[in-house]
Amino acid sequence: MARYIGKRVLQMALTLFLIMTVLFILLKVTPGSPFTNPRISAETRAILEAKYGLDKPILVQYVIYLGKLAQFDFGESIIIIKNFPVTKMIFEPLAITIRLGLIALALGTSIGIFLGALAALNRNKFWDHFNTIIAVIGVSVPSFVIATILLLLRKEFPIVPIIFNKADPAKGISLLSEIHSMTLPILSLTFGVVATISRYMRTELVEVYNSDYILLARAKGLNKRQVFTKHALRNALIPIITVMGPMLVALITGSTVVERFFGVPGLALLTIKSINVKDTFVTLGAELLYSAMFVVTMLFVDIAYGIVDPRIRLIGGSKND
Amino acid sequence: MKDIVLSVRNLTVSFKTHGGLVQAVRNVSFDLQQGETLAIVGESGSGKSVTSKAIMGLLTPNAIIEKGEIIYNDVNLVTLNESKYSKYRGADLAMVFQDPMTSLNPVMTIGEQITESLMNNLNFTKEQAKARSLELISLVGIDNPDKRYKQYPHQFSGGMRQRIVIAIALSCNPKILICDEPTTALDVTTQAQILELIKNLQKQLGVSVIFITHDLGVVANMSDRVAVMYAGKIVEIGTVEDVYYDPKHPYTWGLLASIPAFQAKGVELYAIPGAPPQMINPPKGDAFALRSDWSMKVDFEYQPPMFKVSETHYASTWLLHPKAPKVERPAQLQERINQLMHKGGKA
Repeated sequence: MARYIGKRVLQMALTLFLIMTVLFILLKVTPGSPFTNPRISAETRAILEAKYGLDKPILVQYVIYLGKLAQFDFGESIIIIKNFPVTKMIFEPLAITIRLGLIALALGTSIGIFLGALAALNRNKFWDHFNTIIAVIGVSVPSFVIATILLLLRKEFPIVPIIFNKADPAKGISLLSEIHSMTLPILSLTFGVVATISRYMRTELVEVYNSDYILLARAKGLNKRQVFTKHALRNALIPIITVMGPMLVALITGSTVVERFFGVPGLALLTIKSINVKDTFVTLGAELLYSAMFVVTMLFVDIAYGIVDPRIRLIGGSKND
Repeated sequence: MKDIVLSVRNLTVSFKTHGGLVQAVRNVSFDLQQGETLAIVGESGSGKSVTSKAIMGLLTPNAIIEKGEIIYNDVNLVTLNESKYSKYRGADLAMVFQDPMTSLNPVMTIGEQITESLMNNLNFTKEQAKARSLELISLVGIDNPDKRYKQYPHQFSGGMRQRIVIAIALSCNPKILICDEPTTALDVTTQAQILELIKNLQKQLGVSVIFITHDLGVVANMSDRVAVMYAGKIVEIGTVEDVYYDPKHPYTWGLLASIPAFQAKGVELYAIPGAPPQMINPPKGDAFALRSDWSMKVDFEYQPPMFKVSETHYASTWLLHPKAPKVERPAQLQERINQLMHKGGKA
């Protein structure tokens, strides 16, 4: 297992290196400069570019950046906050985005599993049809439309805050009240998760219930509840775990619209801003972080998959014994 | 007469389908005696599996038990609700399924799957259940029970898995064991071993067995009595000797004649002509009449009742009616029966 994880970590590092290289070249060859403000004279611009090393050939810039990365230095922001280290700049928005994504995922998965199971156990009855409707809406309606609807509903029933309220112990604002202030963005993201997860859950559970081992479990004398909790649920959850990883990444990278809509100062907002002003190192840092989250999540999914499904665990294990 | 442990009376099971009601089991009645093995034979779709699932109360939701009784311990199982039925399963009635590759839960260890039954039905503690499970694993002929206990189904071969399923079935000392084609999915060598195992365990534990198969060779070897099913009905029932040496129903004749034999080299293997009837609209009279060389006018009009041949032997064909013309079994079959009897006599 340790060897397997070690191998995977090396592969991940290689992947990230390649992504970094491609991103770096793309960002450098796209036209534009951080210093396009017409009030900046050509001389000043030349001085500024020299200061940040932007006048050097791309390859040289790349090698310098690599050298910095090796020391976990993601460079500095040029425009957004002058000379501020990217690492520090990204940390806070990232925490907010991850919080948003994780809560939406946890909430959406729990509701989705519940609704999917309800549909599978009451096939062709009310809950099944209800689930189908929710799923069709959840999959086909984009999150910003749902966000709009939520906002309209909020107007009628002002029960949750609408303005993002950053946690700040100094001002006496707790993490809980920050999360509370993110209710609407969380709900907008949750809907899609519920739709996908509940569909998976229903399909899987129906299939599991048609399998011979459920028949054997019943033949053993287990009652309905035991058959469900001990035999059906675990088998049906295997595919759910596989979709959860990419879904979390999709939530984190895809929360852009929702973050903008509700003014949540997450990583997505920062990324967009940095692209607009061509603050290259901020963009690079943010994108690299997204990629890193993706590969790390996939690793966790693979490990989790092995935990719930012994067939996969043992094949992986025997290879490395 | 031995004690009767299970009595099936006029069992009729249908399935709701888009095409209409499919009559899978029609008026099936039989008794299972204490300690005996009753084989139910028939081709695919004859209703043998449905009968066994009905006894276990494991029919699919689209199945309807239209009428009939399944009496066990003076209780009509048909009337029980799911939670009451589940108390009988495992503890009194146990079942071994056809495909061992899919009948074990892939994400649970073998140990968990055996102990679960013991803890649930016999209220064993975890330690008791484990000790008993290890015994059971050895009992079904698997070495290294301690190691095997912790393994998962995919680490077992098909034959091994079927042994585990048998261990699970027998774990709580059931009175009745239903084996639904337990060797169909296995290769011939493994098949012989599993049959031997079931036979030995049955002798050892005194459990009554209902053995469902389409393999007449297996039946002769395994069972005390045989029920032949066709189109949802039992057409002939009797001891193995009755049915093999003195078959009365033309369908049984066809089945027996279609067993390949070594001596019959160069002779074309017999096959029953035609196909079984559609059970959405079962024939009015004898369901086998269309395929039989001996059918009479009455066969197409009225369903034959069960005629008594002897104390143990019954068959449902108009040929047994006192007014029916006397017919002989096909010569080829009679010859084979004579050979079999001859061999049997010698042994």
